[in-house]
Amino acid sequence: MSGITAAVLQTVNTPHIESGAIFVSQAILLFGLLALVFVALHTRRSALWWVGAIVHIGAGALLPYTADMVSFFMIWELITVGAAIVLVCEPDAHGLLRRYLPWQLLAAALLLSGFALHFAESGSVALPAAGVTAGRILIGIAVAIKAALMPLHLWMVGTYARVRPGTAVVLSAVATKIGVFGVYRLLPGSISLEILGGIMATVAVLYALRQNRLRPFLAFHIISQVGYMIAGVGSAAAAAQIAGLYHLGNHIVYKGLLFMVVALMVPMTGTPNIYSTRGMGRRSFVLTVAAIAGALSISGVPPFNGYISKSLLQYSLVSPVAIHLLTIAGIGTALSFTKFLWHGFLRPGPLPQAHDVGEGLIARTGTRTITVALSLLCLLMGLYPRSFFAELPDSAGITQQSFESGLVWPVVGAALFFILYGPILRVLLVTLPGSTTVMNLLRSAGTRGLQLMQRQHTGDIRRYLGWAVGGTMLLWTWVLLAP
Amino acid sequence: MNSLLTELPVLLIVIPLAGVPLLYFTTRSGRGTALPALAVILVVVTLLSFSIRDAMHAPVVTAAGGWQPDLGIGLQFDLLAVAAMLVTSLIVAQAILSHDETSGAQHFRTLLMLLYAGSNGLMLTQDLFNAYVFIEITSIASYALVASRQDKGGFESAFKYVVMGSFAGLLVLWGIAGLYLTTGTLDMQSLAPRFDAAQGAVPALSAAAIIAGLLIKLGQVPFHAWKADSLSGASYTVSALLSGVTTTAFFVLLLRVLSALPSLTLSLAPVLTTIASLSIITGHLMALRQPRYSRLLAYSSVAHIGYGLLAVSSGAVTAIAAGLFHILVHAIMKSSLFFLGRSFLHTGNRSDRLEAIVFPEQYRKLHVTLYVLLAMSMIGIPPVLGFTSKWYAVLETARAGYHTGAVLIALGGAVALVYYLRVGIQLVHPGLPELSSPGPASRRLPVPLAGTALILLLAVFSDRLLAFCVQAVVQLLEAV
Amino acid sequence: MSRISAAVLVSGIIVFGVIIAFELAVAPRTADPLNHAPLTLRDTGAVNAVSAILFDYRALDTLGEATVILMTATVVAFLTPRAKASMLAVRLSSIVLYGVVLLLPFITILGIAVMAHGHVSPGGGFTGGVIVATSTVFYAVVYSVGGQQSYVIAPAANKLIENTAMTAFIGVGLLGLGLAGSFLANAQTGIPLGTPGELLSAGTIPMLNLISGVKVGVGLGIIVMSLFLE
Repeated sequence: MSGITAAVLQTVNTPHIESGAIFVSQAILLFGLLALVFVALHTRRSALWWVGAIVHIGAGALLPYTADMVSFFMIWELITVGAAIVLVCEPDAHGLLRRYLPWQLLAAALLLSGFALHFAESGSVALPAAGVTAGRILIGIAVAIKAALMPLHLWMVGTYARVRPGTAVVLSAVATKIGVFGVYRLLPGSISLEILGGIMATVAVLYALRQNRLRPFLAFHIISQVGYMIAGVGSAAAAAQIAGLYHLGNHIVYKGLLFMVVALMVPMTGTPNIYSTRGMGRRSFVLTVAAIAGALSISGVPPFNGYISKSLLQYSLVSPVAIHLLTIAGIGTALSFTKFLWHGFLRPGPLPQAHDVGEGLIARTGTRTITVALSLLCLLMGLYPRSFFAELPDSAGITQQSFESGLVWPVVGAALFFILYGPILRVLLVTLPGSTTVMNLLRSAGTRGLQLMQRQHTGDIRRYLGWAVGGTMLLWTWVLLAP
Repeated sequence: MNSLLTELPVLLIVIPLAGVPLLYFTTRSGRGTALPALAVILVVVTLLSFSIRDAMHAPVVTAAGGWQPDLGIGLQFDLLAVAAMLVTSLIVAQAILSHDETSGAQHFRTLLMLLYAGSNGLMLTQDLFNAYVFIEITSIASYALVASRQDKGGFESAFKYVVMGSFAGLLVLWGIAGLYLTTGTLDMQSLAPRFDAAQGAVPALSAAAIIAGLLIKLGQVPFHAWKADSLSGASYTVSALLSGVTTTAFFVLLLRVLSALPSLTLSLAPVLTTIASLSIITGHLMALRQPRYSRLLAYSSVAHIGYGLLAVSSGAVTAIAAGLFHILVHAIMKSSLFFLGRSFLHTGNRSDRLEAIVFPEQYRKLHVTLYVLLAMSMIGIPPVLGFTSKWYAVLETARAGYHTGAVLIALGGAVALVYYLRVGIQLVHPGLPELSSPGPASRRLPVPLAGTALILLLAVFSDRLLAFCVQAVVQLLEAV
Repeated sequence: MSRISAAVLVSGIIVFGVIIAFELAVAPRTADPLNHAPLTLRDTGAVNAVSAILFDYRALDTLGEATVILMTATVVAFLTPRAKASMLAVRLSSIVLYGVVLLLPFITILGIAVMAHGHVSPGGGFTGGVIVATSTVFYAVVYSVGGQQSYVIAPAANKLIENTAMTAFIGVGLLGLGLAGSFLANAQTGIPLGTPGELLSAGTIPMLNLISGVKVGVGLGIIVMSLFLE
């Protein structure tokens, strides 16, 4: 309708310029470009892959600026299209697309219907500043899928763990961040979102602890960190939102760094298993430094950037429940990354045979320079936070006192690893339901239903005629009984 | 010439009818060429495009033979008919180009002209009994087309189609008789007041019977079951015609009947919504596990017509327009997908089981691109036309207050993705080696190039197209 | 279909049958259909009101119905197997053979007469066409003996006649369009309606009667012969 177009054109001409949007967009863009450079130095990719990757990152950087629902949805879909093109170029395209696309399309469909409901109520396609009112449950589920919120995370673990390492770096730059931005932009702040974020951060850490392969381990940590962000941007408090956004920016940097480290590690040690990786510390000094920087950042150890956003969250969240949950998640993260560093880099023991599988060793210097640059960025974002995100409060920064208090929980986590890791792991393995179990239950229920429906369509024309006669009589009954 | 304009509706029916003897007289052998048939379509489309302006101004109303309705037959050429007939003309032209088998080509084209004439008549007529005559013409032509493959599967499909189609025809005829008996008129324009004034249950029962008959023709739950069986036995070209041309024509007729009986439509709205919702669910879920290409597309049609019906049953003008828009877009894209299926045969492969289909070596990349674009359109991924039409359907259905329906339409795309992806992966990475003997016309460009190009290009103008549909619906509702 | 659902369906049909029958018998009719009979003589010059409705008021419907017959004939001829069948190995008695020869001209003439008088007496193109078809079918049945088939009209000619008749029908319609600006117009064209009751009266109605008679006759002939030869 011309009305819609007019409304769209009006809003398209005035993009959504706001410091939060600018920050998210720039973070995605900056890291996306770094990731592309990393992949360019790391391995060869087909032209189609590059097209997809550039569309994916470009659309991701564009999305925060949209001011109306139509362009938001279009660019949201463009991100998916870009990712789909990238996945088509992967070796196991079939399996990847089957895992990735249905969830994304479900999210798109829910977002679309949520927008439609909102439009039906408000009569405007402009995205409201305070979050949508009608259709927020549908939109909430949509962004939850994109942000890989816990029961809806299967697409992410399934995809990121199966693509080639460089691709994982690129994909991890955009998708979940867009989900978090969706929470920030579309949903009104509430305490329940804070608590949801807290729960997710904690539960995902528990799952991450269970993993023994590197990339699923990182994928669950992404989910956990996304929980922090959702607790922040989903809060009604403005300070918490700022903190959540800054955490998003930090997260893009340190998590990308960790993915790069893993991408470089695996070909060198020849195993994706955390427990059998060892000796990286003696093999590559640069990678060890980068890994430690990344681990300290994600665990929230001062003076790295993770500490800034996490401590700000602790101060500004409204719900005490969420604050406690995030503390527990922080201990878990520290525990988990102590495991990573210990097994991968620091543990003494005989070096395993090096496996030069070719990929990953094309350009050592270039890729390593990027990891060093990102490590420095982690440090700088922690030391001078306000020059990266001007909205942060003056109090953000490192002081003597905060430095000491910030060390407490990470140290507890590290200590737990050396003292109690065995028992904790055993409890976790027994109590947490595996994601495949849930998936299988759902799948068998779905298959049963479909089979039941299919068995009704026998191809017997008498039966079909019977349905038609029955349908007609139902129609007649309605007509007779209707007023 | 003024009189030619007022006679336009009749001409639009008679010209394709005259195509039948034209085809006969211009052919020496049994084979003939496609030119006369294409010429007929060209003439119809030219007439249509020259008269859009007049139809915009006001519907062109004709009394056939000079006899006013009640005594004679009224026909109406309005924007609704223009939009639908442009779409069906495109599909019929593609079908002529697509049918490249030499044997029975003349027979096929003759039936095609009759189908074209019948569907045009369905979309133009204002007279219920006249509509029945055109239902008969359209249906018998379709039965014959389905059977024209002349193998066991074709005959079985045609038989099922005949049984269900005849039942539908019976219901419609009975309904028309009942309405005529109680209201004394066959003219849709003057039906509403007499229908409301009529007493007893017979008028409402008759009208409901007509609607049930049309729902059978459209293939909506629980009247849908014949559809996959019939389309899977027909050749791809015929399936494209059935899901493009006849469906559009019957949908337009349903719109006319519903708008002619506003009070009944209002009271039936909950039932129609339920039927549409069930169709969306059943269609998509059944398509998920179909083993064959044509059956999969047939069930997807059930769901998509459900979208249209859902939007229409909400009763708001813009929602009806959005539903109509989606049905027209669906006709183009679904028929294009069926035409695309014809390329499978050019590899010498007769089976359309999903694990066996493969595009010919020639133009394989082009074929795959077409499939991807069309599938995107069917699923509703921007920037193709299928997305915009679906977006409007969701939006307008939600605006009309049908929130559940809007969600259903939107969610349908997520399910559709799964089955179109399944086909797409097979087409990109064929599991079977290509058969050695290429078919008769493997060097030709794929026919649905035209439809796909339209789907891409028209997406830019989708809001104008919707505005056109809104105007058409306004005309339709004002006429009553 | 299970027995229970069949029982439900059948009882439903019975219930609705009763309701509809009752309603039809009892319910008052608010509006009666327009009575064409008094108008036909004035408008069309045809004594037979049915013919007037079929070939003038609603001639477009008739064009459609004639098309249906043509189409059915084409389809049946196309779909039935072409293999020659020699089903009549039995020799028919001479009474039948000569009886048919004697009767045939009369049947044919009767058919043509019914067609030609469609506008003044009961009957018309459709009825007459059926009678003519009967005669051709009779002939073919009786004289197709021992694998040798006899036709009154060859199949190829049948098609020619069908298509010519269709062209003629449309031609008459176009005549109306040209003279009165209305497709299939009759009296408005200025064609003299003549004296009601005479053979040459009622304008285009007798022409259309004859044309549709030919179409029906040939069409039915094709259908029956195709099925019979199977």
